Amino acid sequence: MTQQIQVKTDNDNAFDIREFDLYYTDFHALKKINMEIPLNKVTAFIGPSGCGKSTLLRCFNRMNDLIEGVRTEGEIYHHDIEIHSKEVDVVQLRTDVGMVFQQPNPFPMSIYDNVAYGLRCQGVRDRKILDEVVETSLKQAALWDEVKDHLNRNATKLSGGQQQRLCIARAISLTPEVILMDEPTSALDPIATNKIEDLITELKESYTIIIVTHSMSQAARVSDMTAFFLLGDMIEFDVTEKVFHNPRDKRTEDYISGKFG
Amino acid sequence: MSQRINYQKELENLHQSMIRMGSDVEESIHLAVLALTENDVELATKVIDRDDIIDDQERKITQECILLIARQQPVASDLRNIAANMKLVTDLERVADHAEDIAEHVVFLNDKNYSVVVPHDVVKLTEHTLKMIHAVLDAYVESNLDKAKQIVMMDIRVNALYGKLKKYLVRQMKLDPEGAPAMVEMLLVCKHLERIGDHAKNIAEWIVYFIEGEYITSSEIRKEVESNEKGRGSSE
Repeated sequence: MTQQIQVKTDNDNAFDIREFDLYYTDFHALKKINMEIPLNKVTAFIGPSGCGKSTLLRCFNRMNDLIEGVRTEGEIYHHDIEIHSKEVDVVQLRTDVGMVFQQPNPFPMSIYDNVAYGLRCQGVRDRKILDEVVETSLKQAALWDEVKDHLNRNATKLSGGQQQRLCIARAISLTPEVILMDEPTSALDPIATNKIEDLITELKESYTIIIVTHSMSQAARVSDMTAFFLLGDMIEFDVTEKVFHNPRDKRTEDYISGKFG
Repeated sequence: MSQRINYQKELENLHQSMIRMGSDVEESIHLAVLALTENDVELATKVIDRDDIIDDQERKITQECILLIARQQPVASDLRNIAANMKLVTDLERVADHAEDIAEHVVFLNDKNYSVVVPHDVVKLTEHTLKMIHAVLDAYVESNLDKAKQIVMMDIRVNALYGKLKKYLVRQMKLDPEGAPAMVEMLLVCKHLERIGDHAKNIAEWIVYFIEGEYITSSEIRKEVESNEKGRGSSE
């Protein structure tokens, strides 16, 4: 576990990553990563498979804690708190930093219960509050109009795109500050993908979004900032327009142009 | 390991199409200038006929660029390359239009039986303009930033020569009012040559954009070149 160092971070950032290394036993998966993830922006992580982008994403809500043999060095600050420090409540961290996965993973229960699940786990029983949060979350996830008349329907009956938006609504219900998205559209058709991409653009008004994607065009379309990773190194991190128009590093250029990877 | 082999081939084909068109445009100016200095109507007619071929090349290259964007979704230097090609193909086509216009003036002068002695400075202007086009095409083929930036400096010389010729021809018109219609034709020829210089400068700006990734105006390029030259001069 990392050594605790208290340093105030810039309030404009959702995360400050300082000299961060991650090892899967002996494998050095992330190497001296330094970057600042800005608040209320969409930051895209791109890079070939095995480059470390999903590994870093999973660090932000300490999902890697669940993997045996993971060891980290360096710091990740969420505001002024180093997220690996003892005082951090991991459950609270995962409430603040929600996550949406590659495969939509609704619970086998009603649409309503899926969205209300997190709050109920927190002990909220007031039906009025639950109703309000379910409606607001589904509206923010652009799903309300499609499901408002059958909230008791089993969520697994929804289409793939709807299921993914339901998962976003479930994440939103806990009013997180950050939403992590790990290839959220890779299992979806183009129409469902467009809806999720539009939703990402709307959500950034209220949330910080970090998205891992294998689609260069998706990164170019939806993100404000783009980071390119290669073999555990962060090669380039800049505003998306710069990365896709005039990248600094030849390796970034070759990757986004499809010349390798 | 290099991937997207077909994409790379298509980009290379685009580059080759541009080089072919550039070479055809350069020949058109060369022939137009020769027709003027030799008073060769047959050659002038040939230049006029060539323009349709060049127009066709422009359309095909523009189409190639649009299809590359639609099908390959280029980014970074590939995107800048295609965007620059789409812009500079228009300038190249305009250069050919000016060559055609010069050829039409040669035909007109002959039709009217105007006898004109081509002033030496017009010959100098044609030489400079031809040099500019040749140099800018070289800069394109070699993706040579320094050569592209030098085009901006060459244009200053062309503009100065044009200004000088304009004054000379107006003075001649005053001295010889009967010869004025022929002088007007000559002045228009000079204007076409000066415009060719401007298009060469535009092409140079797009080459700089493609290489550097930023659009820099010719006046900024001029300042940069002048400051570099000053720096070199003081260190020598």
